[in-house]
Parts: sequence; C-alpha cells; structure tokens
Amino acid sequence: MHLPHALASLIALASLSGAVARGQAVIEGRVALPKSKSAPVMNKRYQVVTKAGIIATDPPVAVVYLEASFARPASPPKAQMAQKDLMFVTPLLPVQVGTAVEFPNLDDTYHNIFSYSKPKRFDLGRYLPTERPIPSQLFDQPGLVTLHCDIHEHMRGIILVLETPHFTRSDTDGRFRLTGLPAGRYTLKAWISSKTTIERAVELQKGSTLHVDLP
Amino acid sequence: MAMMLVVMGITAVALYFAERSVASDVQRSLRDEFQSEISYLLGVHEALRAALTERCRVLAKSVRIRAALEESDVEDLYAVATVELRDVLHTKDEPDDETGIHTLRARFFRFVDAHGAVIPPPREPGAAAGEEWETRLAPTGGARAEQQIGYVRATDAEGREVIHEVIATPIVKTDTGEIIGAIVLGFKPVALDGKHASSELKSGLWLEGLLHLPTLADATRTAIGSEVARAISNVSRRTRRNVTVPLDGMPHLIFAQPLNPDSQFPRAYHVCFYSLADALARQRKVQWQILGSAALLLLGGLIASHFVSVGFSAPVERLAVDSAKNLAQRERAEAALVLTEKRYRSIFENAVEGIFLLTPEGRFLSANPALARICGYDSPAQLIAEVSDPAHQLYVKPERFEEFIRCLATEGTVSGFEAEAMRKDGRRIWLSQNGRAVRDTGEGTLTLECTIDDISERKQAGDALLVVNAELEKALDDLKQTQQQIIQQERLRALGQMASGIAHDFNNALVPILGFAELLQLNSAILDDRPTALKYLEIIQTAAQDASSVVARLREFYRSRDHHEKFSAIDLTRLIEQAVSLTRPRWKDQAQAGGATIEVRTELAPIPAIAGDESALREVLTNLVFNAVDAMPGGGTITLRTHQLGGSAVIEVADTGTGMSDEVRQRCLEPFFSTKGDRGTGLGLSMVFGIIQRHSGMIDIRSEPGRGTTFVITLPFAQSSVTTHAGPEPAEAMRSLRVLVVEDEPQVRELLAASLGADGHRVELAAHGIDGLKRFLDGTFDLVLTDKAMPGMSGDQLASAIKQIAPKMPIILLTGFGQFLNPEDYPDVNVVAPKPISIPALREAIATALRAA
Repeated sequence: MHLPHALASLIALASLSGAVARGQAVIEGRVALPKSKSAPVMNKRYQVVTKAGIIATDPPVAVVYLEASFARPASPPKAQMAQKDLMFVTPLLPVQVGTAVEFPNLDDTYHNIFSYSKPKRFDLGRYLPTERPIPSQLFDQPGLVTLHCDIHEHMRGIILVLETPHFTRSDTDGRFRLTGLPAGRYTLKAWISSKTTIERAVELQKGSTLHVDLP
Repeated sequence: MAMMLVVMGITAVALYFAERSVASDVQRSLRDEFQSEISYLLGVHEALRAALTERCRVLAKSVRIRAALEESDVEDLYAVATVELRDVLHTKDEPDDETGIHTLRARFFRFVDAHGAVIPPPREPGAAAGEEWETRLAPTGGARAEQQIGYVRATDAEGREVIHEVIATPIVKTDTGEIIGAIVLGFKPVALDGKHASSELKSGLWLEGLLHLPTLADATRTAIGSEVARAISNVSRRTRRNVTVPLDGMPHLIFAQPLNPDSQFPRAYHVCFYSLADALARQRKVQWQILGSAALLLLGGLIASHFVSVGFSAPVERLAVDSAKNLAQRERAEAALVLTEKRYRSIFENAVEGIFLLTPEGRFLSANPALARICGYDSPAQLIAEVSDPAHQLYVKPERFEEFIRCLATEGTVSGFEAEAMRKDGRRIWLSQNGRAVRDTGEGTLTLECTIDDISERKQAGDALLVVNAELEKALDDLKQTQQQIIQQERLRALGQMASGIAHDFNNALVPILGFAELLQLNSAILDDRPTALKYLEIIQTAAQDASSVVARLREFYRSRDHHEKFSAIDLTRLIEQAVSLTRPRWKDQAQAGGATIEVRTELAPIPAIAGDESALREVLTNLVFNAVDAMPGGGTITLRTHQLGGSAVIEVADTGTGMSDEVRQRCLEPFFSTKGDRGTGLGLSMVFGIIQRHSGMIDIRSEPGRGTTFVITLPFAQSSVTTHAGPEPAEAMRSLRVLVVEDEPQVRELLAASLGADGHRVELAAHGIDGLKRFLDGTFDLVLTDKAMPGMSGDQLASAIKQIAPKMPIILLTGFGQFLNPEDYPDVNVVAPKPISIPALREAIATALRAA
C-alpha cells in the first residue's frame, strides 16, 4: 500500500538531489519564430519544406543547443527516425555527432531513404517494415542532412548533427527548456532554418535557471 | 520574200513557246523533287527530336536528380547525375557512328540554377576553366515551365567549330510547383545530309547570323552570308520566294527551316543548298535541241520558199492572185506538221525514260538512246544489233520478260511492271516497265510500244527508309520500356497512397456527421424543434450512407463496375440542395473559423430527372464544393447552377477563388495530381471524373488564374427504362409475417426486431444458429432472417438445415461482406443482403425473398 508512494518520492528525491548535487543549470525561454505560411491546423504535426533553397519546418520550430566542444561519448548514442503515414517522424531530428540513427519503416509499403547531403551521403535501398536489422546510419560529421525517399517524392526529413549533447526542440510557439547543463560560458544557438541560426552568449551559474529569449 | 518572213516568224514564235514550256517543266519537277526529299528528312528529324525531349522530361522528374539539385554541392550534383544519366549519356567506348541511335545519346549535360545561370561542373585541379560557350547553355530570361530547345556554337577538343543541340528541361518541385532549376542535355544535331539523302543536297545550321557548314570553305561561307540571311528573312516573313546562291561555281537553291521557333535560345535555322547544276544542264540541253530543230526548220522553209518562187513562179503568181491567203495557211500547216514530227522525234531521242518497240516475239524493232544508256550500250544501234534475245541477255530472270510480253498480248496495256535487269557491264538494276500493244490498222501487224524507267535509286531509297524505320522502331521500343517502368513506379506509389485516399474521403463523410451530432448535443433547443432535429438526423444518415459507400468503393480499386449496375432516376434539384446542406459545416463554420466568409448560391432551373447513382453523384458535388472552398482561402461565392441543354442536364459549380493555370487545369483530373500538398490526396477530382464517365457524362473545366474556376458537368436525362425510385414503399403493402431473426450481435438483433415490428411483423429472436434451428422446429414461420458469421452454426449452414425441413421457406442472409459475396455460392438462401441494412432495403429484401421462395 505504501510501497508505490514511497518509491515515487524516492525517485523524485533522487532526481532532485542529483541536479542539486552536480550543480547543473537550466536555460528556458522562447525563440521568436517566423510566421507559419499555412493555415492553422488542429494537430501540431509539422513537415519539412524547402522554399527558394531554404529548408525549414512548417509550422516553424527551432532546435536550441548549447555550443562548446564537448567530449564525444564513449558508446555511440542511438536515435530513431521512423517513416509513418508516408512522413518522417519526427521530420526534424537533432542528434549529437557520433549518433547511430535507425530508420524503421512503420508503413505497409516500401520506402527508400537516401541523402545527398555533404555531412552524410547514403542510400538505404528499398525495404519493408519487416526488414531486420532496422537499417541505420552513423552520423559522424556535424551539419545538416536532408533525407528523401526515392518512392515518395514529397517525403522530406532533416537530421541536424550537432557537436553537443545539450540540445532540444522548441514547440511551435518557440518555447524551449534545456536542462542538465554544466556551469560555464557558452554560446546558446537556435537553428530555425538552413539559412537562419541565431545565437547569444550565456554564462551559466551552478544550479541556476537562466531565462533567455532569442533574439 | 514575205513567205520567208512568215516562215521565220512562225519558227521564232514556236521556239519561244517551246523553250518557255520546257524551262518551267524542268523547274517544277526540280522543286517537287527537292521538297519531297526535304520533307522526308525533316520527318525523320522531328521523330528523333520527339524521342529526345521525352527522354529529358522523364529525367527531370527523377526524385534523385531533384534531391541532388536541392543540395548546393556541385561536385555531388554532377556525380549523382552522371549515375542517373548513365543510360542517356554517350560513352567513349561506343562506336561513333552516324546512325539515329547514336544521336539519341547526349554528348554532355549541365545543370542550371533557379536564377537561370549554368552551374559549372567541378573541374580537375589544374584544369582550364570552362569554355565561354558553356555559359551560354541556359535559355535567357530566367526559369520557364516549358522545355526549351536551343543551338549553341562551340569548339571541340581539336578546336573545330561544332554545334550542340541542347534541350533545357525545367526541374519542378511537385509539392510547391516551384522551378528549382533545369537540366540541359547537349546532343549532336540531327544531320540532314546523311547518307540517305542525295549527294546534291548540302545542309548546315544558321545561328546568330553565321552559317555552320564544315564542308564549305570559310571564304565561300562569308561570300554567301548575305544571300542566306535573305533566305532566312523570307522564312520569318513567310514569303515563299526562292533564293539562289552560287556555290562551287554552280547556282544552288536555298531552303531554310526554323528549328526552335518558340524557344528562349537564339533562333536557329536549318539551311539546305540544293544544286541546280543537273537541272540547268537538262534545261540547256533541251534549249540546244529546240534551237537546232528550229534552224533545220528555218532552212527547210527557206529552201521551200525559194523552190516555190523559182520553179512555179507563174502558177504561184496566179494562185497568189486567186488565193494568196489560202496558200499562206497551207504553208503554215505544213510547217507545223514538220515541227510536230521533229518534236516527237526529239522527245524519243532525248527522253530520260527508255523507249522501244518490240515485235510480239520480243525482238527489238527500235530503241532510243536512253534505253541504250540504261542497259549499258553505247548506242541504240549497238543494242538492237547485239541483243537478239532480250529475255536472256537483259533480264536476271528471263521468265519475267516473258511474263511482260504475255501480259501485253493478253491485257493490251501493262504499267509499273518491275523487274531486275542486267546491264552490259554486269551491274544489276531495277526497271519499271510500261507497255501498250498497238495493232497497225493497215497491215494488222502487232507492235509493242514500251517505256522503261531505271528505279534502282528509288529501290535503294526504299531500303534505306526501312533501315531508318527499324531504328525509329527501336527508339520507340526504348521509350515504351521507360514508360512501362514509370507506370510500375506509379503503381507502387498508388498502393501507398490508396490508404490515405480512402481516409480522406471517409473524413469528408464524417464532417457532417460529427458537426451535426455535436450541434444536436450542444444545443438542446434544437432537439425540441422536431422538424429541424429530423432534418439534421436526415443529413447525418445521408452522410453515413456515403461513408459506407466509400468502403464499398474500395472494391472499385481492383474491379471494374458491374455491368448490371442499376441507375435510378435522380432529381438534381434535391441532390444539389442535399449537397449544399451536407457541406455546410465545411464552407460555413470551418471557413468562418478561418476568417473567411463563403456564400453558397443556387440557381436551379426545373429539369427532368437524370439516370444515375445517387450517392456517387452526391460525392461528385460535395467534392467539387470542397475544392471550391479550398480555392477560396479569403472567402467568396460558390454558385451551383443547373439548366437543360438538348437531351442533357448541365450542372455548373463555380467559385470566385484563385483559379488554375493552364497546366494545372489540364492535369487536375489525373489521379494523384494535387496542388494542396499534404492536405490533398490528388484523388478527389479523378474520382469525380471516373464517376461522371460512368454516367456517360462529360466534364469541362473553365478556369482563369485569379478569376475562379467553373466545373461544367453534363449528364444525359433518364431513359424510360430507368427504375423510378419513388421512396420507401408503403408498409401496408406487406401482410403481417411471422419472422425468425437469428443474429448473435444483441444490438443488431434488437434493431432488426424493432424495424420488423414497426412494419407489423411478429418477430421471434434467436442468438445463434443452433438456437435458431431449435426455435424454427418449435414454431411456425413465414420467413427466416439470419446473420452469416455466427459462432457454432453459421447462417448458411442454418439455411441448408432449414431447407431440408422446409424447402419452400424464404431465407434472407445478412452479411457485412455483402458486396464481396457471390449469391450463387449460397443456393439455400433466397436473398443475400448487405449489412448494415436500411429499412427500405430490408422491405425490398423481404419482398424479393417471398417472391423467390
């Protein structure tokens, strides 16, 4: 009877004390995003669009990250970019350099994911949802990778390969919250489109919460 | 003296006319010959070029090329494209022959960016920068949606001037319609002076005021430049005056043909030079012959007049007194006779065709020089002397000659008789022979008058044509294969998109159901207002029926419509009013939420009923209204109009929205063509089109960007054979029945009981097959209504069991798979009815079952 309660409070305590003990900082705030061009829709799903050579999401969202040189993790982190309902889910995926990204197919049809982007050129070939192991790629160069499907020409996805483990995706209103940050001086950046990345120098105190609105 | 003057005058006039007619004949035949040659060559050119442009269009649609162009990395772009274009590019190890197949391969390719600048390919480090001509490969004036054909002057590796034929195809992003660049493929221009053409034809390209014709010396080229320019300006002004220029000391006729009239590239023209040497020689020869015969004639005339004046001066003087005019006339007649005889002789001697006379046994009586020349003999005399047996001496197959003689003897005339002959020097030639058997009226002897034509060249040209034909057929095969691949790819895509298409239509059907249901829930006042509430419920019911027909339509994806499909008579006015109220949540409430005000107007004329599938036509109208709403993001007016036109009803759905471009208008009925990005499936209008076609109707789209779109649908009126749907049949028509209902779903069972009870039937319920059979044995029934899929004993098994006990018992089988079942597979069941079943359908099923049993 008491056990679940006890367990829950124990976990809460542990996470709280962890943050306090290591003196980690938090940044929260809001990125000013450009206006969405399409009519408001009920669900907040978004897709990748290119217009005049600029790649962004519609409605716009930002990837906010803390830039500095961080050591690469010992074992490569994993991430997933699925294909579902003939879309990439999620269409904008930030990862740290050295991440292995899996591309599971959740549709009942073939997909053929490929990219011609400089940081990672690959072509996974056609595969069905039953394909095992799930096709994956290691992203070891920082930069922007645009994904296409040879069969479904409207499908587009972005993988943003970053040299930091501290990143997050804002919501469609631009609000973000980065937690578990080390103290020190850094540059806070917000990627909005392939053309626009805005930045601000920040100084983080141990255990503090910094409020930053960009720009 | 006067006589001599008369003779000379006649001669001069005859000479003048003879010369005139010969000269114009020669020119006319030359022009015909020339034009037929040119039009044949241009036809070949057209076909090759159509193949090339189609190839480029397919390439520009490649997902990979588009993806590579979207990345701004030049090195990768060209690397990727080289792989994608491997079937199109000319490779070094292929033989560089001059056949048509070779010209189907590109010499090079370049990309053009969205601003219309050529993207230079990556160079090897240390290599020279690109040539100047490479920057001229893009059409001027920025990106355009159409393919452009151009000609670019360049220099090859050896520094020689070459011309590239380039085809620039825009690369368009399908979702936004944005032109992101173009791919330019460079080909070798199709040569008009290939080996098939006659040696007298020279052809080159006229580009930016300069002539490209490598076989011509530079000095000559400059010399004739202004004349060629004049010929070009004649073409652009559409005057048909011929221009001639001296070339190698010989006059040549110029013929120019625009190559890319509607292109943004500089204009280029095909220029052909046709030598007049042969024609002039022919004309001069004829002139000399005429002059010669005239001189002879004149001499004869002078001698005759002299003789007359000396020998018969006295009688002549008397005659002159008597009938000076008469004599002059006779003189003139005699002179004309001589002239005619000479002229015939001249034709015989100088004809291009071989002319000869044969005995019925096939020996030569006489022959003209042309025949001797064709057969390889020096003179007609030699031919006649040496050839005693033409069948064996001249013909490859002697029996052909014998057949010719036999035909002449029996038929009287023969024409176009083709045979292979052997010349004196052993060379084989093809002849076309014409002949006529002539019986001399005096002696009754038979003579065969024959002419022959050397058609070897024509035969060869025919063979060459066959080769070109084979090449074109191969090119066509290639194209067909490519097309097959595209169709295959399209099918794969369709498979993926079908699911979302059905979801789309289902959602459309759900909009009124959810909307009105919500309205009824939220606004309890409406529930008390009985007529309004009933109207809303009716709309919900109609929409739900449509949703179930969407599911039924799944079948249409793999099976064509049944032929015995029943159309009923439909009142268009009612249908349109239904469609307007069905779509109201979308054009009124949703549009208002988005800040737009949309007004829907109806202008409905009273018109007779049409024959059709009511739910399908309702779908057509709702689809068109939804499209109109989508086309008017800022609000506007939708007008639905009907009127009568001959034997058809015309429905117009007009909006005041954004309208469509010509290209969109032409393609909007294609499946999966959408301008709505992810919001549309591209299936709506293609389904509309399919439905209208099924109704033997027509659809016409009038649209102008910025002005709105009007869909005009024409449907034929109902014929008398159409079953009139007079609404539900009165329940009184049916007597009260004792019905056994076997159904495992409690709700469905209750619904059936309620429906049947409301019609005055007495109902007994059973929850499964065995229960049903037990109740059937215990009671007395007029009808059994059973579900198909039930645990234990299925509906059809129950039906078999009942039919063994009571073979005449009417049985109705209800099934959710009604559309997919074949009634013939269930011999013990009288009616197979789909589930869910409406009350009218249930009544009809009962009536049918009673009749059938």
